[in-house]
Amino acid sequence: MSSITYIGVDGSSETIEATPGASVMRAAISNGVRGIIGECGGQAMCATCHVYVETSLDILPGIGEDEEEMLECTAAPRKASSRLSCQLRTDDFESITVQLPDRQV
Amino acid sequence: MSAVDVTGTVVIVGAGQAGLTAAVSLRESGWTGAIHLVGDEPGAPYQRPPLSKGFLAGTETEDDLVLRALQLFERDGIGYRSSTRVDAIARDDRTVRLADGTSLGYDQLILATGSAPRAISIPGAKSERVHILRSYADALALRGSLAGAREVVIVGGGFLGLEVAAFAAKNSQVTVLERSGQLLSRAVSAPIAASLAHSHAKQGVDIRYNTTVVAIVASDGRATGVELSDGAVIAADVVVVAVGATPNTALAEEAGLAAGNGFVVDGRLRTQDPRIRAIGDCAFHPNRHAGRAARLESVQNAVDQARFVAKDLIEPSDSLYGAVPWFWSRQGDQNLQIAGIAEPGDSAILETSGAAVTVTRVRDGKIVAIETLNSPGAHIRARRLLSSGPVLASAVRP
Repeated sequence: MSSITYIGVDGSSETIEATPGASVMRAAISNGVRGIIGECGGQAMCATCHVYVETSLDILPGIGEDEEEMLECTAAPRKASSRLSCQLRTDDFESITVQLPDRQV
Repeated sequence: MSAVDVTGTVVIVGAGQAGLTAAVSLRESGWTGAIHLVGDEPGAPYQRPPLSKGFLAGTETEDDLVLRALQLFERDGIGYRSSTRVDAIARDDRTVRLADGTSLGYDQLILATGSAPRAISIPGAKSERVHILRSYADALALRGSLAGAREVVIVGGGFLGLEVAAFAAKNSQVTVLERSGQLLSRAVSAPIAASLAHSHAKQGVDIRYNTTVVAIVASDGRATGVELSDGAVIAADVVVVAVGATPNTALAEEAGLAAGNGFVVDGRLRTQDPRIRAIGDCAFHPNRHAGRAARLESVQNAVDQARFVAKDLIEPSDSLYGAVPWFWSRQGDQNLQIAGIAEPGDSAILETSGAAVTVTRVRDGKIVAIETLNSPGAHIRARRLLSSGPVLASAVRP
C-alpha cells in the first residue's frame, strides 16, 4: 500500500492508503476527495486532475508528451511542481503529498 | 426568484455518470434534504468508457472502473440503491414506484436513465457469441469470448465498434462492416475518418463499406458467421453488434412526459413537469453549440448536465445549459478528440503535422467544431475557443 496525502485549498488534508497500481487521480475519485475531477478517466486528455506535488519530484517518472501538452492547458496556473495526477501511480512511490489547485475547469 | 428549498427530497433515476454526478454535486453544493440514487445495475457506480478500451485489454481492472466507493454514500448521506429498477412515475402524488413494489416520494426528480444498445432484428441475432457492449457484465462476457477468438466480425463502424476492433485486432482477424461509405459518418469529417481507417487497416482490420448484414449464421446455437445482403458469408467466432444506442425513455409514456429521441427538456433541462429534469444520454435538449435540439452520448454531456441541474436546483436562475460538447475515442494508438458539434454537410479544413491532425468544421462562416487526432493541447484550446458557441472563422488567427 502507498499513502497519498491530498491538501485542499483551505489547508485541510486527507490521507488515503491506495491500492497497488492505482493512480493519484483514481484514488481521489473512488475515495471522494474533492478537488480532482478526472473527467477522461485517466487518459491524460482533460487536464482536470491537475495537482502540485509537494514531495520530491525525483521519485516520479518524467512528464510524457501528452501530459506536457495538457499541463499547458490547466485551469489553475502551471508551476514547476505541476503534474496530472492520473499519470502518478502508486507503483512509483511509498508516500506522496499533493496540493490541490483552486480550480480544475 | 422564489426562495429555494434545499431541504426537499431528490430522487435520481439512473446511477451512471450523470446520475452519480448529480447526487454528489447536490450534496457538495449544499442540498440538505434526502437524496436517493437508484440504479438498476449491481455494485458501485462505474465509468463506461474504459469498457471498450483498457478494460478489454486488461490494463484497467474492475477497481479502476469504480466512480465512487460504496462506503462514501453513507458518509455523504446519499441513499444509493443498486440492482433496483424504477417501474413508473406517478406525477400526481410525486412518487416513483420501484420494481420491488415500494415507492419513493420526491420533491424533485432527475431522470438519468441513459441509453441502451440498438438491437438488430435479423435471423440469428440471439445466437451465442453475438455480443453487445454497454454494461460491465457485457464487457466481461465480450472479453471472455474475444480471448482465443480467431475471427471477429464487428457490425457497425462507429466509435464503440472501432474501439473494440482496435483491441481485437491484436489477437484476431477483425472485419468491420459499415453500412455507409465512411466510418463514423455522422460524427466526424471525411479526413478524420480516412486517417482512422488507414490506422485500422495497418493493424490488419478489414473494413467493408456499404454493406448490409442480413443474418447471423449459427451452428448449434452458436454464431459462426455473418451473412451480407449480396449473399457473401464472413466467418466469425465472435460477432459484436455496435450499431448505436437508443435512449431509455420507457418511463415517459405512462407518466405522460414528452419523449421521442430522449426525454424532451427545455434549456434548463426541465421536462414539461418543472419538478422533473432529464440529463445525460436520455435528454433531448436545446443545444446552442449544435444550433438545434440534440441528444448527446458522452461523459462530458452527462457530468456537465448533472452539475448544471444541481446548481439550478440550489440557486435557480434564468441561465441556460450551454457547456461546450466534447468527446474522445482511443482506437489503438490513435487519440481522437472532438470539441463542438458538426453536421455531415459542414466544410472541413484539414491541417496535419506529423501524427497530429486537426480538422476545423465550418458552417456559414462560423467554426462549429474542431476535430483532432493525437493533439490533446489543440483539443483543449478548441474547447476554450468554442466555449460560448460557434465563432466567426474570420475572427480566428489562422
